[in-house]
Amino acid sequence: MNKDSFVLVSKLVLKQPWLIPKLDDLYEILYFDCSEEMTRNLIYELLDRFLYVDTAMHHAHMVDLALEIVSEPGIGDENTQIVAMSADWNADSSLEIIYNLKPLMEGHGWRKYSLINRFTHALKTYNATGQNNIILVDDFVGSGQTVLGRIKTIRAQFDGSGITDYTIRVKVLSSTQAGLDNLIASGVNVTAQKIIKKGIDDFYDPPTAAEHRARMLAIESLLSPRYIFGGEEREMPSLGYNGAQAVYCRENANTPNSVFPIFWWPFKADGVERKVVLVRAMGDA
Amino acid sequence: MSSDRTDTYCPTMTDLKILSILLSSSGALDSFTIFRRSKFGLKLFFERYSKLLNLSFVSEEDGVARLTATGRALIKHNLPRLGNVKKQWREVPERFIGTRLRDGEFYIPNLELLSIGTFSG
Repeated sequence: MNKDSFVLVSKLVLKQPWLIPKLDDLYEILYFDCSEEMTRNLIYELLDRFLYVDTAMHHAHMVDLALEIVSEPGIGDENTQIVAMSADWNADSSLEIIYNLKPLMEGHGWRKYSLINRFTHALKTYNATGQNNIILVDDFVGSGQTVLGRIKTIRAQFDGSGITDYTIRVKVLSSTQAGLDNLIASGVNVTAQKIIKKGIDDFYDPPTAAEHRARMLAIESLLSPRYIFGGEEREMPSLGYNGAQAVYCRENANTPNSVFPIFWWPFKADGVERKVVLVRAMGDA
Repeated sequence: MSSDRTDTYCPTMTDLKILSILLSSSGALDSFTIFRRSKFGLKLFFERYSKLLNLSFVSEEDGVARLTATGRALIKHNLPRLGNVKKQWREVPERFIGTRLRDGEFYIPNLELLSIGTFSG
């Protein structure tokens, strides 16, 4: 390794220490995937602005989320249900959020509210307890489409039962700016502890951003365009799902598909496995 | 506080190597030079170097690393660990040591190599 490469890598890993155990993989992306200096600089700049939520920061966000819920005007312990965004029996990051909230809510003296592990059970909980303030919680919002779908279903269930005296709030730990804007524009009462900007579009002037997007698409052409999983085809989400361009990851957690796939998509165009700096369970790809 | 840290932190041999390279260079050196002189792999180097920075045993500005006062105290306190590592396995047992040969004295290194004509004439 020459001095220039060392200085480049050194500046990056001292700011983003989560990359240190991944140095070999990082080196492969910077010096094998990126054949041009400008592309290498783009990858370097994207990694440099990554929001890496370590365990301590995640806990701080959880503490803030619990505080936000108990200080929310108009709701209280007796009439609130905190509901995971999870839809079925699969392991989901929203389940971790409600479990982590459990001791924190006790710390605030909340004992009568409900913690629900599936969003479709909100109506059942209302019928059993009368708790009419629904707080949907999740780890991360990408495009916001999933949240809108969940709200639509809950509204259909409640409205179908002739219930009108209920509220829905959405509280997440991190959201892309675009996802948050999408939800607010749709009239959703939503908050996030951290907002994530688009890694390219929100950091460069439009002509430079267009050049960088083209560079990223050129690197993405080295990746397999799709992954076949259990008879289903999953498209490689170019620039992140719905073009989210997210530069975000959480320690010991599944990387959202909103993140640029160059950092986590594990297959080359010829189907051979490639080195990645982030991990995403491909069953969810 | 600083003496607390030097008393309670147990540095690895890798930490000590990095700190001793700095100490022997008047306390300041380009981080790339430390990396080269350490002969460590990139990953190991950054794992320990970033740890030393986080614990403020080393500070870095514009790519130049410097020993802090606590870092200097730590390496000085631990210098004996670097120099006095006794390699016990290199001690030859007494029964393997024969009579010392004088200069120019003949000896036979391997009996198998002797042939019928070795000493004739």
